[in-house]
Amino acid sequence: MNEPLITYPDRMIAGQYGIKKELTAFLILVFVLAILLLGLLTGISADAKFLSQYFVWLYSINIIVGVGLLLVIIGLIVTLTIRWRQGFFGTKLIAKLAMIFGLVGVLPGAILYSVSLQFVGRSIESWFDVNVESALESGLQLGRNSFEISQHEFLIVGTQLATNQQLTKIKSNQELKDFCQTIPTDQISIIDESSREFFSVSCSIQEIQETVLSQEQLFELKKNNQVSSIEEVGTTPEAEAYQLNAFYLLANQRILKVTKKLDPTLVESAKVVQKAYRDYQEKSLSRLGLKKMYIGSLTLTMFLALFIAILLALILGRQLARPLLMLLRGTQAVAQGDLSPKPQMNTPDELGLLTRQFSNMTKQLSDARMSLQQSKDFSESVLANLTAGVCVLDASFRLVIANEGAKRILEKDLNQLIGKPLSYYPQLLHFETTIKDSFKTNQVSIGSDEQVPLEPNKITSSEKSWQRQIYLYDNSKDQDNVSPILLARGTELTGKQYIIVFDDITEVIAAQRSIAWGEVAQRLAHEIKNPLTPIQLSAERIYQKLTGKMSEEQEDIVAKGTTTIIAQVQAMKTMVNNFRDFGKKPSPNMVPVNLNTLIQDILGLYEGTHIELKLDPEAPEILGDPTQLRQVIHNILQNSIDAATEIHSEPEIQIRTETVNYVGLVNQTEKLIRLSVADNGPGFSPRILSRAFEPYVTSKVKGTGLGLAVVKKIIDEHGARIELKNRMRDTVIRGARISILFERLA
Amino acid sequence: MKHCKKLFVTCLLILGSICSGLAFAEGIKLRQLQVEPVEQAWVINASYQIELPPDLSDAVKKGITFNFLTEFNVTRGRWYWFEEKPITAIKNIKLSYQPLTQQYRVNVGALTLSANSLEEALIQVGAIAGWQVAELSALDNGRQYDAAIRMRLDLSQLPKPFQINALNAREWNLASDWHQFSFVPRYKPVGK
Repeated sequence: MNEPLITYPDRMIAGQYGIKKELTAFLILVFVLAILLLGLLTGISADAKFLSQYFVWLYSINIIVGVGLLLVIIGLIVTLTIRWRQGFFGTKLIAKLAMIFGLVGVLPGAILYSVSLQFVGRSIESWFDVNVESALESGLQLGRNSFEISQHEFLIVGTQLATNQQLTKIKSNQELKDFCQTIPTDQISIIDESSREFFSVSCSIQEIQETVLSQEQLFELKKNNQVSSIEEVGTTPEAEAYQLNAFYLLANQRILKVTKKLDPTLVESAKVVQKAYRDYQEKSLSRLGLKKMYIGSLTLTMFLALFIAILLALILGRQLARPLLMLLRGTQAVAQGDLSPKPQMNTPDELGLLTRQFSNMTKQLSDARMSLQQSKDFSESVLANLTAGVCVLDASFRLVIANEGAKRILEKDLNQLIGKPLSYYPQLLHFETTIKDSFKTNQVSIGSDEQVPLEPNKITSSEKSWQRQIYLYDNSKDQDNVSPILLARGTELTGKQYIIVFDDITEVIAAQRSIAWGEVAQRLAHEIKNPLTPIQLSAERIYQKLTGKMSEEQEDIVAKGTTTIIAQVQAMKTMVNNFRDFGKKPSPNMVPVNLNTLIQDILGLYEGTHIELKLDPEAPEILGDPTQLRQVIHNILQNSIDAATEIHSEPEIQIRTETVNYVGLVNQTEKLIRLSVADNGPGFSPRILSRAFEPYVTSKVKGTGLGLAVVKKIIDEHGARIELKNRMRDTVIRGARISILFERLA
Repeated sequence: MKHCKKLFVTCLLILGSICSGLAFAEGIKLRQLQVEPVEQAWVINASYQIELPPDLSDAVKKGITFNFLTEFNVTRGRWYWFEEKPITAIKNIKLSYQPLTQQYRVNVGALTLSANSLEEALIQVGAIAGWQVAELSALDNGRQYDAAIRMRLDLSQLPKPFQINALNAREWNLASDWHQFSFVPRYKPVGK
C-alpha cells in the first residue's frame, strides 16, 4: 500500500531534474550566444586588435549559430505540428500556451527589429551625403588644378633655360651648375632619349628621385619640344612628396631635364584632401558591408530573442500544462478504475495544490475501496468457513452465490451452478421446490396475518424469513436412500433476492431419537415390569392349586399353559431388562484391560465358528470396563456371525487389533488401538448404514435392534469411536467391517 | 650571372595555361612560370594575368589599397613523417590609386612603380621577376619535389566592412588556382 507512494515521488523528482537539466543547457547556450554577440558588437564599434583578428570568424560563427537557432525553432514547431496532427495527448494545450507565450515574446521583438532595421539602413545612408562627396571631389580637383598650375608654371620657367644656346655646348657638370641661378630648380640634367644621363647637377639640398622618361612622354616631347610631369616620391603606397619634372628637346637632340620639388605646404594640404577623399570613398564603398554587419547582428539578436521566446514558451507551456495533463491522465485512469496513487507536483502554487488534492482524493477512494474489499473478503471467509450452508438466489431462484458449507451439505459443486437454477442437478429438484414453496407460503401467510396488501415492498424484514425442517431428497420414492434432514431458514433480501441458510441436522435428530428411545424404554420397562411379577405368581399359583384336582388331561393343559405363561413372562422380563439396561446409564468401572486376552476369552464361547485372529501382541492395555467391553465384542461378533451365516454356510470372521500411531495437535505422537471385526456377510443397506446405531433399527428378522445401540452407547462412554463400513471390492459389497478406535490407554 | 659561380643551369620552364587574347575572364590566371637557380638562389619569374571584376576595379579607383599575395611552396613527401617543406615564400604586392595625380602605384617591397592606367598597373602587379625564394641549398640536387604557386587578393588586409562583404560575395574572393608541378632540381653547388 505504501510502496507506490514512495516510488512515485522518485519518478516525479526525476522529471523535475530532467526539466532542470534542459533549462541549464538552455541557459548555457544563451550565455555563449550572448558572449559571441557581444564580441561581434564590440568588434564593430571598437577597434580592438584581438577582436579584429578574429572578427570574420566571429561573424561567420554568429551566422551559423543564427541558422542553427532558426533550424531548432523550425524543428520545434514542426514537432509540435506533427504531434498536433497525430492527436498526441496534451499537445493542443502545450501548443496553445506556446503560441501565447511566443506571441508575447516575438511580437515586440519583431517590431523592435523592423524599426531598428530601418533605422540602421537610414542612418548608414545618411552618412553619405552628396554635398560632402562633391565637396571632397572639388577639393581634390582643386588640388589637382594647383598641381597642374605649378607644373605649367614650371614648364614655362624652364623654357627660359632651354632656349639658352649655351646649354648645347656644355662639357662638364661644373658648367651646368652655373645655370642653377637662372631658374628656381632643384636639379638640372642633360639626358638622352633612353634617359641616359650626360650631366647632372643638384641646385639645392633637396633629394631628388631619379626619373625615367616614358614612351608617351618621349612621344610628346618630340611633338611639342617640351613635356612636363608630376611624380610621386617615396616607396610607400602613399606618396610622401611630389616633384615636378620638365623635359625640353635641345638642338643637339639631347634632352634637358629640370626637376623641382613641389611646395610642401601645398603638398600637405593636397594630401589631407586626398586622404579625406579616400576615407570617404572607402566608407562609401563599404556601406554594403557595414549594413550587412549591422543587419546581421540585429537579425542574430532577433533570432536569439525569438529562440529564447519560443523555447521559453515551449518549456513554460509544458511546465504549465504538465499538472493539467497529469490531472487529465489521473481522471482517465480513475474513470477506468485504476486507483493506484497518482503523481503529484510539489510546487506551492494552485496547480500543485490541485494535483495534490486529486492525489489525496484518489488515495481516499482507493483506501475506501480497499477496506470495502477487506471487509468483503472477511465476510466471505467467514461465510466460507461456516458449517452451515448459505445460498443466495435471485428473483427467479437462480443461484447467485453459495458457500463451502452449502457445497458440502448438498454434495454438489455449486460453483458451476452459479446463474442456473438449483434444479440443474436433478437431485436438487426436490430441495428447490421445497424452498420455492416455503417462500411462497411465507408471503401468503404473512399477507393474511397482517391484513396488508400482498406487496413485497410492504413486508418488513422480520416478516421475510421462514424456518423449517426439510428433507434434501424426496424420501417417498426410495426408502433405502435415506435423505439428510436440513434445518433451513430462508430470508428475502431487498432487491428481490433470497438467502437460504441451512444445516444438516441428521445427526442431531439421531441423537434426539436416541435419547427419546432411552426414556421410552425406561418408562416401558417400568410399566411393563410391574404387572409381570403378579402374572408370573398368579400362573404359578394356578398351577399349584389346580395340580391334582383335575383330570390328568386337564392337568396337562394347565401345566402347559402355566409353563408357557411363566416362560413368556420370563422372556418378557428379560426383554424389559434389556430395555432398562439400554435406557439407564450404568457408569462403567474403568480398569486397565488387555483387549487381546478379552477377545481370546470370548472366543472360547464360539468354538464352532471359524474365526481368524490377527492380534497385535504389542498392543498396550486400555482403560475400560471389562464386562461392558465383553458385551460389546459379544454383540458385534454375534452380529457378524448372524450376517455371515445368512449367505454362507461357512462364515469367515476376522478379528483384528492393531496399534495406530497418530500425530496429535501438539506434535506428540500418541498411540491408539483399533479393534476391527470383518465378516463376509451381505453388508449393510444404505438405510441401515446411516442409522445402525439407533435402537430398533435392524436388518435381522428376529433382532431386537438394540445390539448396536447398546454397543454405541458403551463405546461413547469409553470415549472411543465406532465406525460401520461395507467392505467393497469394486462396486460389489463383500461384507461389513466394524472398527472401534480406543483412545484412552492405561 | 654568367661568370664566377658558374652555374650549370637547368631551367624548368613550366608554362601555365597560356591564355591568349580571348582570356578576358575575370580573375587571376597564370600565364608563365619559370623557376631557375640564379647565382646562389632559387628565383621565380612568373607572369599573371589579372582581370578585376567591376566592383573591385571600382574599389581600386576609389582609393582602396589592394594587397596581392603570391605564395610559393615546395614540399617533398616523406614516408616516415609529415612532408618536408623546404621552401615557403610569400610576396606581397600593393596596388593603390592616387587620386591627386590620377596615377596607380604598385609597391613591390622597396620598389615603387607608377602607372597611368589600371590595366598597366595590373600588368605590373602580375609580372613577378627575379623573386628569390630560397637559397640554392634548400633543395637537394636530383631529388623530386612538388611545388605549388598561386596569387590571390588578400582580404584580411582590407577594411573590415569589405571583409564582411567578401564573406558571401564570390567576386571578392579573387585568387588563381594553385598551380602544382613536380620538378627535380639540378644545379652546380656553390663553391665547386
